[in-house]
Amino acid sequence: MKQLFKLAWRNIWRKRRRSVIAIVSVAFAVIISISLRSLMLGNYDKMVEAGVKNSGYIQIHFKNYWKDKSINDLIENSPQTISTISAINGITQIMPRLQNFALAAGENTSKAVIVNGIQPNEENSFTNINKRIIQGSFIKNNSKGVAISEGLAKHLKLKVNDTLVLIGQGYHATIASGKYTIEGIVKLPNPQMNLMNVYMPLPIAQEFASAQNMISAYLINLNDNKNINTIAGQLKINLGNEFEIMTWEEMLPEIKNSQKIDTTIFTMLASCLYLIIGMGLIGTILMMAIERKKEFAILQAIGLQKSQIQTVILIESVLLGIVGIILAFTITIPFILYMNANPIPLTGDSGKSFEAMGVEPSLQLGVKPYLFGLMASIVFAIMLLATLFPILFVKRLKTSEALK
Amino acid sequence: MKVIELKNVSKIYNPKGIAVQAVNNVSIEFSQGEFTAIVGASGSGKTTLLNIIGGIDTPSSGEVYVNNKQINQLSERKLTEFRRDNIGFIFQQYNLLPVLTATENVEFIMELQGKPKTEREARAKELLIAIGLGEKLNERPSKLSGGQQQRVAVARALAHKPKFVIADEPTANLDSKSTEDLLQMMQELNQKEGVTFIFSTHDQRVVDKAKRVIVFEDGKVKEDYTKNDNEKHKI
Repeated sequence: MKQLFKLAWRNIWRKRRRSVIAIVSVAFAVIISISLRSLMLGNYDKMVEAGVKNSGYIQIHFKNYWKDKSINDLIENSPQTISTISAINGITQIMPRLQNFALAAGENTSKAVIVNGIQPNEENSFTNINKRIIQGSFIKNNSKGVAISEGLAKHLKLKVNDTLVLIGQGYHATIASGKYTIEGIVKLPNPQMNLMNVYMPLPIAQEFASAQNMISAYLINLNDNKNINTIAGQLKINLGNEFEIMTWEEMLPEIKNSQKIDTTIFTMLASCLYLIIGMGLIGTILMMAIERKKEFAILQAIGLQKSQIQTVILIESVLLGIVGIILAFTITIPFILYMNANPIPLTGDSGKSFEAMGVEPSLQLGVKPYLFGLMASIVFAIMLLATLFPILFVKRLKTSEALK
Repeated sequence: MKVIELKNVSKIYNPKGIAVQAVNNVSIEFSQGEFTAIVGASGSGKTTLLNIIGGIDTPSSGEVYVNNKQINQLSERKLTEFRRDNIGFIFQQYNLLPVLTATENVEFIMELQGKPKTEREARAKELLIAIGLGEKLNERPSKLSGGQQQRVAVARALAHKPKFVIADEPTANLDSKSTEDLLQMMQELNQKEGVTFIFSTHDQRVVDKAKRVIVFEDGKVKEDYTKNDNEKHKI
């Protein structure tokens, strides 16, 4: 085998320029496909992160809550339920929320809003919403006031220390109403959400909705998104049918759909790229074999088996592929790490469209080690496919005729 | 001692559906230590005959024996092994492997046979020094002249100590001096080591050195004689 390997390695460098072109083709395909996919997955990760930061990885509701989001479909915020949830491995945070709808009024105008009853200290560590404060300060667990979104403040012409009036439906058909001091104003990236959010500590929200110790959801944070389906399954088993367990993919189907579209586009682009590169490689490898027809015949005449000649060709292809992939990795790994650490900021309309989705307006490449293995495998498969032609060529070679 | 025996061997090619009889019912024997030249016009069937003797080609009919073993019934794999272990080939175009050095080319078949590195290297060096290429051990073929390449090809053919050597017009691309040197070298190997050589050639100088001459015409043996029969024979 060592002899065949030596022969193959030296054969590669016989026509240095052609081999370099083949290697660069392989490297180019791998670099482009990994970089493009990393960019897509990086943006997808940011969309997921933005979505999950608002919704949590998993939410636990009263059965059928999600469909109507009715204030009547609440669950009790009980230590027993929290204990059952936290017994499952992989869950890092449990945040109770009470979400309700109300009409908010300033001095002259009013607007429909979402009232979010949260535990501010716990939410801050997960959603970092306190970092979005632009006026005043964000509410704390023991606050009596509220924080409102910037768009809403503008619409109602309210500022910090002004009073916000809320009126709506409470738990089990009660009337929910109250006056609250605005402690802070937050700017939310999504313009629609920026127009309609009110945040208040959970006990205040429960009091507003006359829903003592009741919540609409537990938001669950995980240490790894990969385990989400397993954990969701365990939650369903442990909590029983009274609860509705939803993953972020179910709550935010638009993100999943966006990923599907991106994946389809990428698959089409990558297929075209690999097809073009593959045809080039087939041509190169086949040419490398055909022009050595007589040499193969000589090798066979002096005692090399056809299978050994085919092995030499296979080794040549594999070596070309390996060198191309190593070159690609050498360029791609530092590039992706750099672009991951230093995203390109997006300005103008592109930036605004990112902001509108609540996503940081930048192009950031995701670091996905499996992509390297996947793309290398695809290129290898193409190389092996390309090698089939010269292998068949050798199989059909007639030594005496090739020697002429 | 009989090394090669052909019995009623014929070879018919069918290029483009037209049958061409390259070898026509040839029966011939070669003994150990012969230095034989097969001569004849282009297209007379010399190379086909050599290919059949060397197991590169199979006859359409007839039998080929080497050391009493019928080789034309062997599978392709067995035949390749047989060639590797029993026959040395010298080609008109030298056909050295361009990516290997002179030493590596000579070692190549021994390496295929699985001989130890030390033994291979010693044998290759011994042969290359013997044929006057001691200074070119690590040169690749592209750095050698035609004559030097053909000498390396001879060393490659002899390195694994084959039962016989088949040479297809070995001097066709060589100048007079190189031809003379090569023939002298092969004659010495034939005389000292008893290596059997079978050439096909157009070259009178090769015929002059041959002990036995077979004249081939239209796929048949027209004449077959040793130099004792007719010392002055010319083609």
